[in-house]
Amino acid sequence: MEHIKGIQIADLGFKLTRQGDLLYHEGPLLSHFRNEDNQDHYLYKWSDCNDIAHRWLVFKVSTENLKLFFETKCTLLQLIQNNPFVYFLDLDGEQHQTNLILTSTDKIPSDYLPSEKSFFKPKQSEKYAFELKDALFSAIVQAKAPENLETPLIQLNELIQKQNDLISKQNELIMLFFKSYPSLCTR
Amino acid sequence: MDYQFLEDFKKLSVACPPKHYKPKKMTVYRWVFDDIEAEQNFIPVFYTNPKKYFGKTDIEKCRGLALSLFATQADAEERFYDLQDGMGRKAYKVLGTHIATGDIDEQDGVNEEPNASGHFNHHPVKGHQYEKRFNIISKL
Repeated sequence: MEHIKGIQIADLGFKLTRQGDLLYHEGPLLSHFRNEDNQDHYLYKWSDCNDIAHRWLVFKVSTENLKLFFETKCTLLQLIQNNPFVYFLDLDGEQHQTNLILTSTDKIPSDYLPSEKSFFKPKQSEKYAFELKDALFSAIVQAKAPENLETPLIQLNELIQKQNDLISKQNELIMLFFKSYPSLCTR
Repeated sequence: MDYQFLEDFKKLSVACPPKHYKPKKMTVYRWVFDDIEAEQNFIPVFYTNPKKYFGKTDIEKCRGLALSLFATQADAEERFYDLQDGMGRKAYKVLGTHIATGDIDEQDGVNEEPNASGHFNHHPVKGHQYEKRFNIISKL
């Protein structure tokens, strides 16, 4: 498998629970997980394997961006590149972690990245992908209260803006960290 | 039918193969690794990666005991490249490197109806010798 430049860590620091598979062929290839504490969405994208383990690219995705993906307005590649950092998780055949690396998104080996054509493809997707898509869209509809259609939508937009601001701040901090401690960025 | 994995089917709590699977005479396509006679090309994933099935349901184990086939060469190619778009350029390591084709008939086993992408599962009988009956026709 490819060498990943990054920081080896012991665990993710949060508990993710598998919800279902978006892509599957004789095993999962793209799976949806949620953080048990705050319900954040994460995707596990199969990236590589050797005789011992399968390597998964683990990254966070916002509800809004996941919705854009299902609307084919953005690609899986863009969902990944929207993060300042991602995790590479190696799991053996019994699903035990053999390695976990936190890395800057721009250090992901090119062979591990989806193509620029990695749009949501209904024909190739699993039933769970459609269930998730329906759930995301119905959640947005619920946010629009019938008595006043504008106010909840404005609140939602404000929340999304605040979330984007926080992500930007987080990006700055992560990049500052990588620049300050370059020696930690190689294993 | 004298299925290749009949003893495994008997250990499952579900009907395996599922009752809606039917025998059929047709030309089929499969992703394989070069060379065609490599035994791994026609072994179902349940045996190539048995640990993957720890804790899985009997329905999933039954699926894992089938061979993945495609109804047309175009289906096999489209599915491969669509998956590779999402997985990245290492996809061949788990999917395969070539497309092989062969003819199956009613005596060779039972098949699922092809889905939207032309993929279907096939439960073969013992002694099918697909590694000698299939030929590689293109590189992925």
